[in-house]
Amino acid sequence: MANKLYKGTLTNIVLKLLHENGRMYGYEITKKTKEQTNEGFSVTEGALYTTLHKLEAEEVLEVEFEIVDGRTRKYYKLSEKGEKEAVLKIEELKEFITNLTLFLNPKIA
Amino acid sequence: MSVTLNKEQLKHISNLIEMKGVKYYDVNMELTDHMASEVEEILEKERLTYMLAVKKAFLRYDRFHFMKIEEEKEKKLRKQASKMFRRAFFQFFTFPKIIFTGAIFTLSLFLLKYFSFEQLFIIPLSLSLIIGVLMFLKQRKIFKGKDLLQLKAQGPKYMLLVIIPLNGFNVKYYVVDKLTGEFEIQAVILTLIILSLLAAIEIYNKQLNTLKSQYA
Repeated sequence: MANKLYKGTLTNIVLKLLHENGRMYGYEITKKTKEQTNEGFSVTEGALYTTLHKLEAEEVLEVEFEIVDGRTRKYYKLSEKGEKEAVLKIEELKEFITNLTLFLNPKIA
Repeated sequence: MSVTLNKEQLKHISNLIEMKGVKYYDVNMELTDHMASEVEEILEKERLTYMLAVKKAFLRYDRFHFMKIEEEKEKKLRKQASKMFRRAFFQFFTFPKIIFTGAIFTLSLFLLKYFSFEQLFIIPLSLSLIIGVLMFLKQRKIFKGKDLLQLKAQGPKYMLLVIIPLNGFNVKYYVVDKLTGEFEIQAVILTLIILSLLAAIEIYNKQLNTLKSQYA
């Protein structure tokens, strides 16, 4: 159930991770998401690569290639446009969480 | 202990991904790295043989999982190609390129006094076909058998052989035939066709240079 809920925020998750870590490759993103959420979020490869390819096509992400352990690794990093978008999306996500918390705990408001 | 797969094992994983419907080198390369990392992690954590680790890693995904990633990527690339094409095309209506556009229009108008639209239309049509074939041969030489999805989705076939000539024929059929004798309109159509061709060449060259630095 939790996985269904976070699907809509996968773009924000990817942007936040790249904003904090500079450049990352696909597998690293799935691992880091699991680590940072104590295995609470499990990113499916299909959804992750679809999001990465979409952001790459929209020029939000730039790519770099490097030979690592005998194979070519594709790294993703934020473009100039992506940096601005990341800041905006992270703020949006924080605002959404605050509103959701208020909604779930009306006493706080 | 850190585990690193050898060349044969990487080839094996790449072949398995290909067998699951991923035909293109650029997509296969990325997924091979992903699956290889996953297999390496399994081997590090569990006392399994390579074959069992591969089986465990691949069992998580259904038959069409990898193919779907490729299909989704193709859709995104086509969308990007259309966006890039529009951007490059409309550049011809901004300064300083608009001067060039004006020159093409004036030349078309002048030539239409001596030749028919059909005769003149043959020029951009043949050019697009010749350039399309040259581009195809060039990319084959550069990438030496590596079939790239990005080139399929944004390459000469898509940019030149499909969009421009077909649009040219449609424009001719729907507009020119209904407005016979209007030199100005025919010159506008010819100019637009030529600008489309130039925009497509510009994007293709840009894409080719980027891909060359990544995959050649």
